[in-house]
Amino acid sequence: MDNTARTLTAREIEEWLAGKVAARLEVEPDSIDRDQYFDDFGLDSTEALVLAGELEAWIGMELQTTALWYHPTISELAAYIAEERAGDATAA
Amino acid sequence: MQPRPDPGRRLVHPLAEAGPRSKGRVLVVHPGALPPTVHRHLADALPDGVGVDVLDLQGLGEYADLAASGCLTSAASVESLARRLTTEIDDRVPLGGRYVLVGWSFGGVVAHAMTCHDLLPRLPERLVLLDSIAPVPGYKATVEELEPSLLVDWFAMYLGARRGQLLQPAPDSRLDRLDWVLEAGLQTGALAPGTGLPGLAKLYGRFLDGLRLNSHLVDGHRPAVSPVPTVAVRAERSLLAEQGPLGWDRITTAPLPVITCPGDHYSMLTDPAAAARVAGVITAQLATTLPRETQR
Repeated sequence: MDNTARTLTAREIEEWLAGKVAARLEVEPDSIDRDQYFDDFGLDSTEALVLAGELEAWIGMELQTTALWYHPTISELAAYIAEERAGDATAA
Repeated sequence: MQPRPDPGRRLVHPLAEAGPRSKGRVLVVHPGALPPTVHRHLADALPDGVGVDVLDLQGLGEYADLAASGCLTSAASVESLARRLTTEIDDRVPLGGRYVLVGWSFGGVVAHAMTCHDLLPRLPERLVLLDSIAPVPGYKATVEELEPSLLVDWFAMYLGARRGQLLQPAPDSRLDRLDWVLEAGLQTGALAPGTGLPGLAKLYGRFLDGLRLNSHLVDGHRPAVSPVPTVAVRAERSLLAEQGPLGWDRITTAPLPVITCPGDHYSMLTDPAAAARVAGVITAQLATTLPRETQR
């Protein structure tokens, strides 16, 4: 589902990310630490890229290459994306 | 979301120590795509006492930065990468030691460059090129010049090799589309359950970026003729269907044996039978007594 047209809260984005990471790790979403570094989830680089592509499709925008480097946890990335999308909506 | 360049990614990955009565060393130039430890299969297939080190181009800051940024205006070149790697030879190969230099894929282009222009203080016994395409006219092509179905096929090979699977399209598949790769990947387990086309497309985009980077570096490269006796090993299912040395006969010293090994461009590194074949080629090279002229 493309969410380009609607506002997404940081919480919603966080839940989506946690759900996707949990699915790949075959664990329950509630067990995913939102403040853990992405690197420490044990996802290899290809899995991270696949997740990035799906995230971009879901939020309806492309992420900058450095997004994960500067926002390396689920909670930080979710907050960043929510802020970016809100900024884009204001500018539109 | 892009993987961070790993600040801890090493340049040199020792996979096997040379024994006290060393039978020689093997240095493998590895460009990435698969982890450098993939050459463990080769190391295991070589005789005990043969040291094996992988020189991982992704451990070179300038190459890793290019790969991560996709910026093709850097001053990095095949020659600069080769020069950087040659400084590792002295550290890894003791004086008087014999070694074989191996290069897989783009790593073969860099390994070949290392043997030219007096870059190496000691030349290897042999240069072994693993399914590599020569950087010569007729074999240089940009990603945009290649058939989409060929690129998708290469991508499928790569995905499959990562999980030890062979991805095959269904008879009615459009070979230039990712749909069949997604379906085959999910069926074989090469892709995690729940993977969708947007995610696969993102990964494919990064795969193409890697090809563009290497193509850019190759395009600016003007290779010399290597003085080192060379062997070319080609996978049964190589990147190109064309038979023969893929241009290497123009920039290596004749004769240039071309040997085939099982697998495809990527699985030749993970398939035990392929590793055994390549190990046999390398072992034969280390066992060869060469004239003094090859030593500096």
